Amino acid sequence: MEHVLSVSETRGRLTSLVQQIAERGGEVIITTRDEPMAVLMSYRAYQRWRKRQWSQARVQFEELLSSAQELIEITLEGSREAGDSDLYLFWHNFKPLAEELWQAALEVSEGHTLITSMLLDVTLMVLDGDAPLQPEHLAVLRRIATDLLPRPTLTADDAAQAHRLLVEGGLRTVFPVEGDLATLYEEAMR
Amino acid sequence: MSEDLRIFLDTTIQIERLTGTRARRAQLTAELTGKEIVTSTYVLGEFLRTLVKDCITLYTLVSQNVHLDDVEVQIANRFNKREASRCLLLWASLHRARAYGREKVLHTLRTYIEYGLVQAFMAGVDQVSDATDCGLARERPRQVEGTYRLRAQCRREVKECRLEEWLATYSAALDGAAPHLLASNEPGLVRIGELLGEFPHTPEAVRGRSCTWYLGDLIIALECPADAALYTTNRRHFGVLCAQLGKRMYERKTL
Repeated sequence: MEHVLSVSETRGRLTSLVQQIAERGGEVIITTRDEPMAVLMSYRAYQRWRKRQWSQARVQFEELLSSAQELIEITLEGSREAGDSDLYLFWHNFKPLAEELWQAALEVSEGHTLITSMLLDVTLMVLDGDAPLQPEHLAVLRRIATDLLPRPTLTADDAAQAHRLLVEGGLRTVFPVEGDLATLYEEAMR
Repeated sequence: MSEDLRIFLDTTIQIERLTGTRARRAQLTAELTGKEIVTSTYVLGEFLRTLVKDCITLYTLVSQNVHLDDVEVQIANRFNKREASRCLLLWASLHRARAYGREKVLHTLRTYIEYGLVQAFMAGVDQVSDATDCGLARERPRQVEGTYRLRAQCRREVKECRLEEWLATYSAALDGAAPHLLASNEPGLVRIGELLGEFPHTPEAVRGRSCTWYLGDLIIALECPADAALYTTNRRHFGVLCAQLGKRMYERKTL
């Protein structure tokens, strides 16, 4: 059951509220100036909620990943050589997918988040650049999308492997910076 | 030689009808006027995955760049010669339509993509044959995320045409043509010969990139009706294919 209490009402009753919720379940919505600001729930309920969240995120992530894999496969089947316009359209169509993948990955795991964040950076850099478009770049993405990202758990080591694959495949994952970062930061803050 | 009264247009001529110089387009109009004009859904599929897709590429490039000169630089730097040259032809037709400013260019490209190009493909055409029943020929660009998407690539694992069954009806003619194609100096014709060799054992080998990259000219030559002359700018491939398949090619008139 759901109760609504203000912060001041909660303050004096926190110990008994925690005990009550832990034993009988339910939720308390805590408000500040009548605005709902936080929720008090049992740790068991929180764990169930997190698990449900993770499962939903995982399903969404898998759906997005499958769309990304299909886009990569179709483009690889269609593009003949470097400089094919299919490759430009690919990166353009991949960008919103990469953004959604990264958003979904935030709920999946740190490794998934790191790798999808790299894919998004790479996509933005390819679109911002003016180097010839290469089909080999998509082969690297395919490897990451089929070998790494479908795994249920990914570690920082896996992210490092993805980074290596991207760099070896000629895809930069860091925006090129002219001058030192400290000066740039100072200029940006001025 | 009697004058051809039925003319089958291949993709190169369909593209030239739209992107050729003024003189060339006038010549084509004169040549085709009064004739029965035939083309096919397979040709339409090729037209979609070349000129219409190029138009989508241009639209995307223009919508992503504030300055049109940056679009030209991107075409020059990022695309290969074949693709850049097709984009340049479209760029020229935009200027011919008096589209110079960015907004006008985007507007004109939108009309090209949404109906203009396919309408121009059909202009003056009396018959569109549908021998292969190609699913991709029925696709049209759809608006997604501020640009357009067009499903244009055939995939081997997805069967959405009757290409295999239709080709099988020509097995005797194809068996006869294969050795001549394999002996050719043209790598594209040799690849067609190789695929014809594979076809009886693995019919699905003709789908996917085999269909869109290699077999197109063979399919178009086969589609050309017996009483029509095939009109193409690619005489290098079609000359050999038509000779092997007993088809006639349209001889361009000097006007």
